[in-house]
Amino acid sequence: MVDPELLRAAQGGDTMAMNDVLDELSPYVFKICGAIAPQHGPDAAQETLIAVFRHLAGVREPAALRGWVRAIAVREAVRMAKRNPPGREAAGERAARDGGELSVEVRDVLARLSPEHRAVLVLRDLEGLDEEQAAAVLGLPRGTVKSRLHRARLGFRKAWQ
Amino acid sequence: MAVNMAVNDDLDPVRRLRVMAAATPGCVVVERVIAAPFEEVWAVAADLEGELPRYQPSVKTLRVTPGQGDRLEVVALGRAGLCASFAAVLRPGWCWMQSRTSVFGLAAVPVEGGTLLGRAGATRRRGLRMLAAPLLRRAFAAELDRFESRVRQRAQ
Repeated sequence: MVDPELLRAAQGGDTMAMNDVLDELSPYVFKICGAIAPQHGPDAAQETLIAVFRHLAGVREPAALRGWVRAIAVREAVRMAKRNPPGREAAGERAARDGGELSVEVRDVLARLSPEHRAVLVLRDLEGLDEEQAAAVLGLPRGTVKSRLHRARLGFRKAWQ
Repeated sequence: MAVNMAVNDDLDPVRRLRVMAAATPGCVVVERVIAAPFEEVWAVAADLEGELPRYQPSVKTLRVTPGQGDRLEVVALGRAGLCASFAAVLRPGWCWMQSRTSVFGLAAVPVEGGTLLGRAGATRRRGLRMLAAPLLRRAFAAELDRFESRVRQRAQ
């Protein structure tokens, strides 16, 4: 969690504090965006963090910061993945270029799912949210998240085989 | 079945500079690809005392005092005789400094054909921001010309 004093200083326009808050948030945002938008993770992470820092002054409760950032990252990554569907570049090549701990095989399989399915997998399996929390982030009914997760995991399993 | 997804990576410094600039009122960013390896470009950027007065002519001398980790204290003496103290962070590909009246950012990342270098800066004086932006853009472009010359000279 970001230190409340650091957050207050950043909200007040102290750019050294902004630098430190960015240190805290950027790996987290990059991880979410990279998993949902494998081809455009860095762009999605950049746009997410620009939106976060432009509206940072409006954050009243430091404990809520991470959840708010996560919701923006998911929305931005899904938007960017849908706007830029995979092109001719092979998923494996993208995965190798994007790096990270995620194995090339897992990235390759994830890249074959829809952005919406990747988003629900990220929230449930990477972020560990329950269905209700994931539904709140995605702005969907709980039942929709449940069925989408079922289809996403099924799709992942099929693509893996 | 739960899918195991662990990814560990981070934004590159130039994207990071764009984020900082977008969040800093009146901040201007100028970017350029320099046809030289990252190590040669960043050697100029990281040598604040030796190189910054060469590519930023308004600065006469610069004194750097190391702080904790990647933190520095920087005192700049201008040609007009004015003195400014900056809090700074310096690490490979990333430099950000802040004084009471201004901010300074420099970031670099290897790209095809060389190194993408970004220069950002702003005045922290509210009333001057609108006036300063176009002047800063011109000044930074000229600064990057001199910076590029220094990279070439050091490589010879």
